[in-house]
Amino acid sequence: MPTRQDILVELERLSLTFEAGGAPVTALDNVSLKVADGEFVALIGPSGCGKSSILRLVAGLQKPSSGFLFLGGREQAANALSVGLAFQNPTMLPWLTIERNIMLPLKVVPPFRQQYRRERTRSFRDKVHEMLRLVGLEQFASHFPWQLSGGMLQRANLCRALIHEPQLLLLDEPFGALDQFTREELWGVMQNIWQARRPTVLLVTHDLREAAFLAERTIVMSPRPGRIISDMQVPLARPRTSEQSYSVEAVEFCQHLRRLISDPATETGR
Amino acid sequence: MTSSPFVRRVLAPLLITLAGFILWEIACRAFGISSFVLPKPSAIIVTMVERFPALWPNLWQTILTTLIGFALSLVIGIFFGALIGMSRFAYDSLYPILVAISSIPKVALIPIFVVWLGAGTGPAILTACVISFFPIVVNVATGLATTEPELEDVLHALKASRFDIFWNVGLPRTMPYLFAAMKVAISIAFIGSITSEAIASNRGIGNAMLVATTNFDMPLAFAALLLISITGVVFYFLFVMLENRMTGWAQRNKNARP
Ligand SMILES: Nc1ncnc2c1ncn2[C@@H]1O[C@H](COP(=O)(O)OP(=O)(O)OP(=O)(O)O)[C@@H](O)[C@H]1O
Ligand SMILES: [Mg+2]
Repeated sequence: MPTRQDILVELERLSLTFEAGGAPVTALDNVSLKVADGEFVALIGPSGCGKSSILRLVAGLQKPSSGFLFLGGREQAANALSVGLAFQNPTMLPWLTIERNIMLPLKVVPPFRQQYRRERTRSFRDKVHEMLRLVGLEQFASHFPWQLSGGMLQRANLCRALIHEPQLLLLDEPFGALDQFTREELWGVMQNIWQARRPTVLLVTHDLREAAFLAERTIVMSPRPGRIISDMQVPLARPRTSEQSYSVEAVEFCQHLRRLISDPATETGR
Repeated sequence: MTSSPFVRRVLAPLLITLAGFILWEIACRAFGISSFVLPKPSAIIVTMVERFPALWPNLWQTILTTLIGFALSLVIGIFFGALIGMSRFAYDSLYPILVAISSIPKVALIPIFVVWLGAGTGPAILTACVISFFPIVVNVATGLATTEPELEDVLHALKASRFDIFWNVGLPRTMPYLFAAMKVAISIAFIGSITSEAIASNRGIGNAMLVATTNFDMPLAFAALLLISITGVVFYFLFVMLENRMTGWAQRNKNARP
């Protein structure tokens, strides 16, 4: 278990209730979670259980109804931490080309923003094209978002989350709209990036094999109101391959996750 | 029916106008309508060309006056529109006041402007400004207030400042609204300045029309009207061209991009 110092994200008895219109909806109920610096955590759970809400809270886009959120050991110290966020629905700005959309973090995030004017047609551009090549979109740099398919937009969305090499990556079903082969290819890309740079990653996914392939640790949540019902290390060695994710250990691990989600009462985590 | 944009946007309106003029010409000749009542289009066009040297300085004066008033209204309008669109408080507290101001017929203000600034260019500029101000404020405010929160979240997550968010999301997102407003505003700005010139000025195309009608020189009055219409159309198309350059992304159905 991580020690106090290298905890990067800490949720302490966080609850989130939406009041708008009619009966209040409790999205999160008393969620406590610690994520160490450099850890890769997958969040899984049924639809509507509050996974996206956790990412929005951590990104500072939402205020908790109660409880505390610490980033880098300090409360609401989000400014000190660079965050990359890939939303569940790709939100590219329609008036910018894909290249300029992906460059957006470089335009506003501190170490890069000072160089933006000078470098946007030079090194930043090379950076973007390098990212696009990794996800197979190199020919679409100067296209507009509406000229791309859903899966292509999702890949561009992932590039935008990664481009400024953030310390903390928040990925909300980043591979959801992709076919099996592209998805597995991108798992490999993602694993390489994580092994090379060691960002802290919170990955929301519905795909159990994806969780087992990518994550160090999997968190399973209950149906709404979301609570954490299981917190397990993934017992698979790195680097992992797609074939390996069909191995006996991997399949058993996924089976275990599946039972936790389909019938939370009979199984308990750990 | 398939037709090129050139045919639809330029050739067709020109042909329809020409057909209208021909009908008008035939009617004038067939019913022997006096040119004191309704001059023939041929006479109007001949007058317009012959008297152009005298009309042009007046038209130029009106164009300058209108553009200055319009530029003022653009600056003030964008400022207040941004204020109202970005702040719920400003929206709720200023909007009713704006509606109250916009309900005043601007023509009624011209005598007041004349008292303040003296007859001539001043009141014409001010009238052009106040009359075209409202559509700009409303559209800028609407564009900003309806910006999708998801688009702003992209920058919020990057800890961008309020200004960064305005500059990178609010402003570009509002451009199509601003251009829609500008196309309307430029033509009503012309109405404002010409009305003011007709009431209190000895220069400008509005004044030239007034002088022509008091002299019963109907062909000249109609020639001035025709010139005003042509100027209005020219400016409208200038703004359409600017709009296409700046906000092509919002009109993707019409023009296919790379
Ligand atoms: N802005 C909002 N206003 C009101 N209720 C909301 C809002 N956002 C989310 N909710 C509610 O909070 C709950 C959790 O939503 P959330 O988006 O976090 O779910 P999720 O786990 O990401 O689901 P999915 O897997 O389908 O994406 C849902 O029941 C939803 O109705
Ligand atoms: Mg979600």
